[in-house]
Amino acid sequence: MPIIETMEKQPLHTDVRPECRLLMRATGIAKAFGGQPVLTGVDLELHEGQVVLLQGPNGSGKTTLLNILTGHLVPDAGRIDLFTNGCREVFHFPRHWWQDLNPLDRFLPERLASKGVGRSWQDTRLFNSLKLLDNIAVAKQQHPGEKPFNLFFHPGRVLAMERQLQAVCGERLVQLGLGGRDSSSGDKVSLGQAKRVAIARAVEAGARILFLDEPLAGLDAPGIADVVALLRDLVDQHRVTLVIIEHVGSIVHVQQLADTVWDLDGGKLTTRPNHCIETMTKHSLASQWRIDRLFHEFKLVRSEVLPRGARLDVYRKNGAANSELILEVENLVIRRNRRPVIGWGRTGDGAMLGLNLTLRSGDLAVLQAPNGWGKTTLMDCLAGLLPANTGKIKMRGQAVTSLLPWERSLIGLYYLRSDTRGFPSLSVRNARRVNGRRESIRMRCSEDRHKYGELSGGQKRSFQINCLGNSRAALYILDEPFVGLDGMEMSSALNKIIKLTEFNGQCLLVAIPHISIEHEPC
Amino acid sequence: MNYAFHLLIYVSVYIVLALSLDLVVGYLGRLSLAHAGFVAIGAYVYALATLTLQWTFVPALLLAVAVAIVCSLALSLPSWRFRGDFFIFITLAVGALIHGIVQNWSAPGYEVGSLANLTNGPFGIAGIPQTDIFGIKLDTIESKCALSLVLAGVCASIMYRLTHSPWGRLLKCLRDDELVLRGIGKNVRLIKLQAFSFSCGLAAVGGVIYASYVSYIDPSAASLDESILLLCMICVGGSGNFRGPMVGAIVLVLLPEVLRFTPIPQSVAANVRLLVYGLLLLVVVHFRPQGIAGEYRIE
Repeated sequence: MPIIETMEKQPLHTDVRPECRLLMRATGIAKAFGGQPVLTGVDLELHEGQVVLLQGPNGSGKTTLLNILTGHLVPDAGRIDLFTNGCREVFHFPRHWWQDLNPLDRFLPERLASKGVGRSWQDTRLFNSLKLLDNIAVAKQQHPGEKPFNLFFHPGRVLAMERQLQAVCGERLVQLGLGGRDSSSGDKVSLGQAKRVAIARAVEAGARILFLDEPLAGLDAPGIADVVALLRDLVDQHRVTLVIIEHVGSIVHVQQLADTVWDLDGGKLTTRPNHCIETMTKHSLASQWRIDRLFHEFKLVRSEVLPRGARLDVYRKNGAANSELILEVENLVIRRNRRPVIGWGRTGDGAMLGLNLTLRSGDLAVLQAPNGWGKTTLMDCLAGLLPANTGKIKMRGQAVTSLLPWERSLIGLYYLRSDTRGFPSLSVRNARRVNGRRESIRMRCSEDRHKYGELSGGQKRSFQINCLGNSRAALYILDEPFVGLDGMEMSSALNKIIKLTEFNGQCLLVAIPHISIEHEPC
Repeated sequence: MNYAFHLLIYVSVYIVLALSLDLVVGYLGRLSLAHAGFVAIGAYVYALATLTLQWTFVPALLLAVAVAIVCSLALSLPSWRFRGDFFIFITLAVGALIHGIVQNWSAPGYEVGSLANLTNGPFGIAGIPQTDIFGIKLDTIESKCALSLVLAGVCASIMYRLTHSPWGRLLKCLRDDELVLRGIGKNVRLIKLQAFSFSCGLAAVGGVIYASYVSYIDPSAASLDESILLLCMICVGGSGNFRGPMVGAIVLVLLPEVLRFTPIPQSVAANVRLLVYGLLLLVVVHFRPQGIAGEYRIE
């Protein structure tokens, strides 16, 4: 796939093109949650082939707006006009109760999806019990085999359609660079692969307007290139309209594609053409991950190259004493369904070569690995959520390989998973208490009254980062801690994490996707 | 020899029931405790159609299936809105309702099958006529066994066709992530309606085979115990595929029969049987949560 060429193509620096067909118009969209307004009168227009970057601070209602425009959420007021299938379709809000009695005229995601409004989710949400091929094939609209009558009375038609569909979807997978993986199930592929499959699924469902919720979050450099190439192909070849929500980390890649920027702030949306690639790149992850360049008190003490394109950089504060061993990992091999995830090659006697890793207190280790390398698997195994097949894990000299997750946490392990799972029905305040945070006046915030589950993705993430400091753990394992954070939040999170190393006897292991440092777009 | 035929009929009836329940539990991901109710609906409708209307086997079978499909709306409409524990409670209520109706629709002094005494209450309906297919009377156990095997085969192939099809794929998606399925434009309500209709319709076929063989039906067929037994078959055998429920049905039908040949006095045999059921369920759920031959892990 000519990824590099497409990456370097000039961006489409055009204004909203009036000659293009109008696909969707929304006026006066308003939405409040529990009395708190999130959107107050949002107006927007979407044309064919337009690429929109939707940005705004954490909690400004980006995902809410996306949910409304795709039918997953009913707005409190406003009006949506849809022109995707040639004729005009109007939804007025608030809707009258008798409108919902008509089963053919309801504001539901399946109705909008069948009219060509598709979306992808922040977490990719593939169908885990289906093969990758079927994950795409299932989205086919008007498949005769979805009617039980046809199964028994027109088996020929079903078979012909299914054969054709399998061929088309197999080809699609090859285009996505997943040629040999068509019979893997949805939960056994890496994040970057899953995101591509999820986008292909939405396109197969006939999407003319595709809303993408953080399509690049958590991806490594090749993964980003692949997804961007796929998106560019959708715009150029298929004239699909894209609306992309993206955070600072990978916003530059989206800006290459976008011709319009929507800024959402304070419940209002402002539209402007995307004339220039902004100078936000200095915030981008690419430059941030040289800790020693950002924080001069740190220096790189060792850098190990791991097999399959991963790298482990260990930073220490200048002048930190040589100290206690916290984590020792010897020859660790982890398999999932007999396929080795961590573990490489074979020695002479046929045994697997595993992962070796030692961390001392005061160390800040950054594991950069491509998607699908097994970062999360490794972290889960260190935390005791997955069994290790061979090898030893020791914490502070004590073997923990056979200990349960909570027993490991008593010894001093703190694990922050890459998802933002929490206790959704607790209030933010109580959730903070559960995380062992002592109350202080400085810490109270406007979200205290809300439930954890009502926070937006970015807010949840920064909440979790804020809770890190209070637990006095010896070893912090953070899996992609910066996904979904904005510029300010991200640098404050980074400072929080750096601060953790100040206490005696602590060390950190941070995993992030592999972003090569040489690649700085501007 | 008759004993072997008898077992074969029972096994085939329970294979049909377990397979049909698996369509809802293993593929759609909704636990149902009302399945025995639909078996009883099939059996009672067949019994009444042959006894009071003097219908022959095939029309009575079709009527039983039609009535069960209409009644399946009691499950599929709530499934539009509810899932998880609440849906189980609703199925429990539907099961109890069917059992209650069958148990109580009776009045002394009226003829069985009349409007006042439709089900004859706890005494059940006895004397269901010999199976009669287009004038051919099936009065030997061999012929009855052949009929039940043929019907079980037809039901199993319907199930196979349904689950190994694009439609079955939709069911699995619905089980995995309903919201995403709606997001790609599929009518999930229609899919649920169809799945429950097929499941309950096939359960009615199982009930008809049972009623025509035993020629007697009473309210215990609709009891919660029976539903739980069916669910056990799926838990033990496995769900979400074709062979799991079959294995479960065979194991749980034959296990008590094996115990019959062990030197246990009759007085304690029933208790031992329950003990073995419970133990088997515990062991399987602990060591193989997806069942002996299953794919999907019931949550």
